[in-house]
Amino acid sequence: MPPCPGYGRNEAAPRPDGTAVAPYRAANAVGCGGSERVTTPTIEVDDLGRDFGGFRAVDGLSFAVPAGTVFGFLGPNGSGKTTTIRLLLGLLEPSRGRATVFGHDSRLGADEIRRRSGALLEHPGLYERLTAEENLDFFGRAWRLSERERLERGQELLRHLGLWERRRERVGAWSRGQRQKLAIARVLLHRPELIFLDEPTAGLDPVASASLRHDIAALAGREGRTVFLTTHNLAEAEQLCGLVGVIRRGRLLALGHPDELRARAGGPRAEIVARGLDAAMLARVRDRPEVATAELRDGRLLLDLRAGADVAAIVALLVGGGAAVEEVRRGAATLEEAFLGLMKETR
Amino acid sequence: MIGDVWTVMRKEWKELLNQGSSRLGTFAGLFFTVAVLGVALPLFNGRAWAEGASGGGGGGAYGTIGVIFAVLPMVADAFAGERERRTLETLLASRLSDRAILFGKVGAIVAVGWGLILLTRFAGLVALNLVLDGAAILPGGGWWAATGGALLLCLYLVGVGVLVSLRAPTVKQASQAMFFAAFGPLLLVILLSVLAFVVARLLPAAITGPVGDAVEAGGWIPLVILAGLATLLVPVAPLLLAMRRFRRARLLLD
Ligand SMILES: Nc1ncnc2c1ncn2[C@@H]1O[C@H](COP(=O)(O)OP(=O)(O)OP(=O)(O)O)[C@@H](O)[C@H]1O
Ligand SMILES: [Mg+2]
Repeated sequence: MPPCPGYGRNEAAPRPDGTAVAPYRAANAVGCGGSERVTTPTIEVDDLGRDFGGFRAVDGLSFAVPAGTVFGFLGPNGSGKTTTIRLLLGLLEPSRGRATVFGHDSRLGADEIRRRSGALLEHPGLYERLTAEENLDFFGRAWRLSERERLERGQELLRHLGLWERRRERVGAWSRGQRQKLAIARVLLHRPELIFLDEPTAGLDPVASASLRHDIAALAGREGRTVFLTTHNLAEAEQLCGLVGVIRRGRLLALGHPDELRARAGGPRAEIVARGLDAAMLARVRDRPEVATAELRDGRLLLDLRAGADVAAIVALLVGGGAAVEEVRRGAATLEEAFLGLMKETR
Repeated sequence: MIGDVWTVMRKEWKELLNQGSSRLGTFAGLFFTVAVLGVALPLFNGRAWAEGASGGGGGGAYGTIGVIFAVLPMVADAFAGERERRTLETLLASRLSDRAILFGKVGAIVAVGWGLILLTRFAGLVALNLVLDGAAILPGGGWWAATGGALLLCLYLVGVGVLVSLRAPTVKQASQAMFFAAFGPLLLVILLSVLAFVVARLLPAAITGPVGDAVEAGGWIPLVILAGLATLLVPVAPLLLAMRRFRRARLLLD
């Protein structure tokens, strides 16, 4: 299959219009051809639970991640994201329910799951007494890459991440971000089909973060790999993910495309910058049926609108009342607002 | 599987070699060990070191101490260190099997520990032959027993060390616990044998006589077999237990 240009947003995931609830109908998971086909989910989790003592760290999770999707797993600190990844990789045994990855039960077939996966966990997991090159060599051998593959792939990744010149240095002396980059190289070394990234941009500078996001999008969009991503950066999740799950205290609160979650968080919005706005005008705007709320702040009129609202009519009203309109911006709730809303609802 | 074990062994050796601030220090330590245990001691003991029945006038015992000093810290570093330095989880998330990881680590340590012993033992032979005049000095039964015994001791220490390290959060805690865990049973064995010896001396001949007779009559053969089995099994028992305990899904709980 020829490579496709561009690193567009991953579209291989369920859309809010409901075209993709199991079995998943993904826009061709490998490459970027247009044909639609039904893909089996890479990850299926059914009523999964894990206790530590009497504490339920993960509590009745059920969701599925189609192949070729960037799945964003979002939640506050201690909500059970890392524990879920450990369960999926067979590093912990579930207390209840089950997890299936590539069709293998995580209790019985974890060897096969790990063979086909790569994971960047909470810590970079690098051997600090070894050099960058030695670290990659070890993990390359662990995944049984040939010597040639190890050398070529290692060089390719180290160059890509700007670490090639430092490959013979011991990792112990490196900065956090540099280690994080090397850990990312380690994860991608054996070209895993499923990639777990637990807060991968933590500690990276803005340029490196953007570059990693670009790479993640390419991995899923162009190479059809599935990415399981946890992040506290919601703009990042919004940009990358085709499917998002929000977890809190081990329970899944919401699951869907980011657009879907944003839509649930509230209707469309508008922001109007104008001179000559006054309280009387604000009152008239509030009276209009398509306006849910209106607020005047620093000469800007902030509007929450109902579905199908006509902003032009509101602008006409303002102009008719003597205001000089300079700028009109339409928008919707961000994923961050949707997330915060969910947290508030379920407090 | 063999390839995976080898992969882990190589990694362990590289980590060991780069452990200190300089490799020079590592090699200096190695040189010192060989110089003292492998050259000075044998020369001090003379021919008896190689030919004597006791494994060479305490040569075996000194070798043993050498093994203990070499092996215990390595075990703590390889198992608890992996947890302390936060590499354990990534290692466990790799495609390496539990067995490959365990055998690789154990293999690497036993190879270094026993390798060190072999180095000092053979260095001793060479030194004696070079320095002493007369007929060539060849190792006797005691020498071979002490050398083989050091391997068993090595396996025993590694086994105990692994068991203790599996749950230890830091190298320091593992080292402390390990010291007691490894020496406790050894001390017990020594104490018991001393006690048995004393008791045998104190008991009236009426009781010890028949036992002595039986031994002299050839009844000692099963005893030797039993003792042989015990000496082989006891050292590897902790290792067998460690094999059962070394399971991914149990290692992360700390
Ligand atoms: N081995 C363990 N023993 C006891 N409790 C644990 C263990 N591992 C996790 N927990 C608990 O389970 C809960 C979920 O932890 P987890 O690491 O999965 O959270 P997280 O969502 O990844 O948080 P963060 O965003 O801070 O990384 C926490 O309350 C944590 O204390
Ligand atoms: Mg976490």
